Amino acid sequence: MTATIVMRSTREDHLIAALATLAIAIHVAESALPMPLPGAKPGLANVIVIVALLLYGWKTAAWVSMLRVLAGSIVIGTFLSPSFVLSLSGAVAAMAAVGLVWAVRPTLLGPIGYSVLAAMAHMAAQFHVAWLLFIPHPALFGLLPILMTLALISGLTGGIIVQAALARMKIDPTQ
Amino acid sequence: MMQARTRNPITTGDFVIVAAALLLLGWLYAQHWGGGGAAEFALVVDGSGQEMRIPLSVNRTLEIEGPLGVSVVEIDEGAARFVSSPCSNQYCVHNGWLRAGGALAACLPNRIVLALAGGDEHWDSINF
Repeated sequence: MTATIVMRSTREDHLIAALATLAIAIHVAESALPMPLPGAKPGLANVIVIVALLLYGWKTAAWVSMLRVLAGSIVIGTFLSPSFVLSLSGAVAAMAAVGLVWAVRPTLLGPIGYSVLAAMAHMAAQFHVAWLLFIPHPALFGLLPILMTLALISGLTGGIIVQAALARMKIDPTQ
Repeated sequence: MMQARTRNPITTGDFVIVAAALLLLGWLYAQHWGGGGAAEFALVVDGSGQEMRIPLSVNRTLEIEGPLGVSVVEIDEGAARFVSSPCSNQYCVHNGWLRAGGALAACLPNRIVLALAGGDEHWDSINF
């Protein structure tokens, strides 16, 4: 009478799960940091996504990114809250921007280019969603230059960390 | 799955992305932090709540009646200021010259508001 359902997981599933776990851990750790500005945080979970992108391709990176947003928000307790909506819109925009370049030619950018692109797209999308949905006041745009500056710094830092991480893994990003 | 990459892990594309990001930042700061354009007229609300639109193109001195007495507003070279007011704290006078659209000075005790409008209006503080 009992039917057994067997769920097969592939090697790729395990890979995605492992990378997503790292990204979620960073995401949760960062959420404990006090931040002077709303909408700003170091964004180092981005590092894992870019590593996944460069090593295993866009699809894996997109999985890691979406799982990070979903599972990360459940762990922190912000699932379906405004901050979840902002996080999701940022992640979708970042993966879309990165995917556009990736579709043209994956080697067009290195770790720093992809990281900066993802960070800037993330912040721009998150800001505009915040403006459209939550605070539709023109004065909000006074924050945009600062937030985008922080995004650039975060993207550059993340890109440098990705390069160092790949070197440590004895993986030459030039190959 | 590895693609052949050039020897240098930093590609030309990386430089293009970072340069584009810097350009975007420059534009954003200019756009959102540049301040309002020159104002075109002053809106003055006197003690009785009556609003007057006064062009900034003509230099003159106005005497505005309020419950405490007469406040003097001066318009000079497209800028406006409170010269004197019969209030005790003199915040309105200490505001100095107003130039940009959206700038505002008020004498609350004497119920007089001086606001500049026109040009590219900018806010003087965050409001909701």
